[in-house]
Amino acid sequence: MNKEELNILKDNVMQEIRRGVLELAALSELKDEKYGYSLINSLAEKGLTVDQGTLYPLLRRLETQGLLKSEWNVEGSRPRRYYVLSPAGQEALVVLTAEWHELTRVMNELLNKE
Amino acid sequence: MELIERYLSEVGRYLPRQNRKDILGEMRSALADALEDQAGENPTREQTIEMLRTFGEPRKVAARYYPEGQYLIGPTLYPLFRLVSGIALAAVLGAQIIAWLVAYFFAGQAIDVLETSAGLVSSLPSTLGWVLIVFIILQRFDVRPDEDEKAWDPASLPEVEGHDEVSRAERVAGIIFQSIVLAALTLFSDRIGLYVFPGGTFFANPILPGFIPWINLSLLVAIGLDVYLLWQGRWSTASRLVRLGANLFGIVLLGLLAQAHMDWLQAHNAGTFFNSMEAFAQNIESGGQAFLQIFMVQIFWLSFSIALVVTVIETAVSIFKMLRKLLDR
Repeated sequence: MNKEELNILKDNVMQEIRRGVLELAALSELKDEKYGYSLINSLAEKGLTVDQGTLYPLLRRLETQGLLKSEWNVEGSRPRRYYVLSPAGQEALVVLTAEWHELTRVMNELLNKE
Repeated sequence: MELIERYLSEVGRYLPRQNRKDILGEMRSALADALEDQAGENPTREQTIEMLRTFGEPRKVAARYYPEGQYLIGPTLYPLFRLVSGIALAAVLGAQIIAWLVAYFFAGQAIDVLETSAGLVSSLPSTLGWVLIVFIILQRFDVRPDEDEKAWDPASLPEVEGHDEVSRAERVAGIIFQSIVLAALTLFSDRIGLYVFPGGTFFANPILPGFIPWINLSLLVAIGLDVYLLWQGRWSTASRLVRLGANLFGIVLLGLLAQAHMDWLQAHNAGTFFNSMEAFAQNIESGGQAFLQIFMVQIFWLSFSIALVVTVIETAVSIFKMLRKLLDR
């Protein structure tokens, strides 16, 4: 496998992994209410770059699943849709966080075994 | 700002109607936020273009709002769709072939290749179209096959189909039957025909004797192949080719037999069903024996025709299987 192929592989695998963790990352940042663009910024500050076109549909899906609540706020410079965890979302975040810690523990063990 | 509105309008064309306004409202404020962040209060046209380029192509951006993807027939229904359309297409094609054969043998009509292929060109796609419409409706109403997944039991899985296994019972039955026919043809070649009891009148088949050597050859090849297969236990490419050759030879032979019987019937004014009815009626009136002979030849002709159709279908199926096996490799 040459360098170029390796890069393509890396990009594909990392894209899948990021897609998988994105929901949990979004939930973790929405204990306090945020609008889409502010959520992107706060994730970016912590080191997770998210494509805008991916995040907005994701927020809607999480809302349809009942994990988020949203409402329009017209007080700022322009109307914005604010999202925050629903009670079900808070519950889900606790469960998913525990699952995540277990998964990273296993993965660290697997990857550090030599 | 004009560019942003043009962008939103384009995205809106691909969005689900239900939430379109709301989604576009959110996107409008998100785009404004992003632009302000990147270019400040008074962005240039180039900066706006750059921001929209990062946001993504309208069609792709809109597609992300369909989390389950956009399709006419989803992955749960697709295997069933494939099966049903395969059966439907085979049925239409099979019905067409039978219609040709019936028209050819019973009404003596020549097969018009141009007309029949034109018919197939319209009937096959329209069959597929109807199956498709039914499945699109099923998909719309979210009908799912295999709802009883809980009842699924691994122990009930079917045996793996051994394509190459030779069925011993089939081969043994084949050898016995073919040997009996071979013996009868060899020993009693002059006594094949119709016996009428009481009275013991015998009508010989006037056509068959000329073909007996060829029929015997075909039977011998078939018996030889069956014995070989019993011994080997598996099909091989060579034995499949030999069977294909034997089948093709059989098709030619049966075709010639059917044709020769038909020629004889036509020569006796009994070429079609109505003609033969007429001939029967005249013969019965005159108390003649020709009626029985015509009747006998018609039975032989019908048997050979049926055998011909069966062999053609069997050969087509085996060619299809061989091709599929080749493609699978």
